Amino acid sequence: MKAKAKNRAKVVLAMKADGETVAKIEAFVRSRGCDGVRYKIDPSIGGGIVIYIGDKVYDGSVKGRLASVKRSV
Amino acid sequence: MEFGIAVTQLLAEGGSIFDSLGITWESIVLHLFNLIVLTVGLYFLLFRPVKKMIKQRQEKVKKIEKENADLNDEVKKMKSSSEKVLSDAKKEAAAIHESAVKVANQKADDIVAEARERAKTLVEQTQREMDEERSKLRSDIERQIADVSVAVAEKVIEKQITPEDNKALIEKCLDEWSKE
Repeated sequence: MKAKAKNRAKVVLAMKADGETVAKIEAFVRSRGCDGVRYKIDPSIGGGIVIYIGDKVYDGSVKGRLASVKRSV
Repeated sequence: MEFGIAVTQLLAEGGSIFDSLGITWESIVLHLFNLIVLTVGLYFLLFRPVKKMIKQRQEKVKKIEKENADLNDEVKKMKSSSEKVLSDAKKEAAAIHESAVKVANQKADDIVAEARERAKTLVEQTQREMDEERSKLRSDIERQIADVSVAVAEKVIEKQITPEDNKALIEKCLDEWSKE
């Protein structure tokens, strides 16, 4: 059970994605060693995608990018 | 007048004047002897002591005069010495005054220099603090501007982003991460 949970990626989207995009997302998480995906819709991220795989976070959200821009300013 | 008449009568009678006056040579000798004794006595008893006393007085006067002269000399020396002491004292007082003025001037210069240095330090410190405050204020303003800009951008993008834009963004991100 624990191993299963560890290999599941968490994907946060601002809005529901189409099948092509979902396929690309799942291909990506599989390439990072995950065997499952849990989706969450959160409009507060503004757009884009955030993927959590274990301790690693891939932040491609509008909110995250703007936060990065703000930090660099 | 009567005595003159009597002497004239006696001479007319032809007698010696000494006889008529009752003067004999013995009495004359006796008187001379008395006179000599008196003179010698007076010499020894009166004249010599008086002479001696006068001589002593003269010596005393000379001694006093000499003492006076010595005293005068001493007074002159003392006067000269006191003038020299006074002159030296005046010179010393002038030197002390000059030294005191010099020291006071030096001290005043030191105080002024220290005050200037302190004022300079204060001005520099104030300038530094103002620069820091200005820099901090500028950073705060820039940060606030960035916050506001990001918040505005967030709102704008949130409202304007379309499903196609969202898809394109997701695919771009996945491409970038795949290359890592």
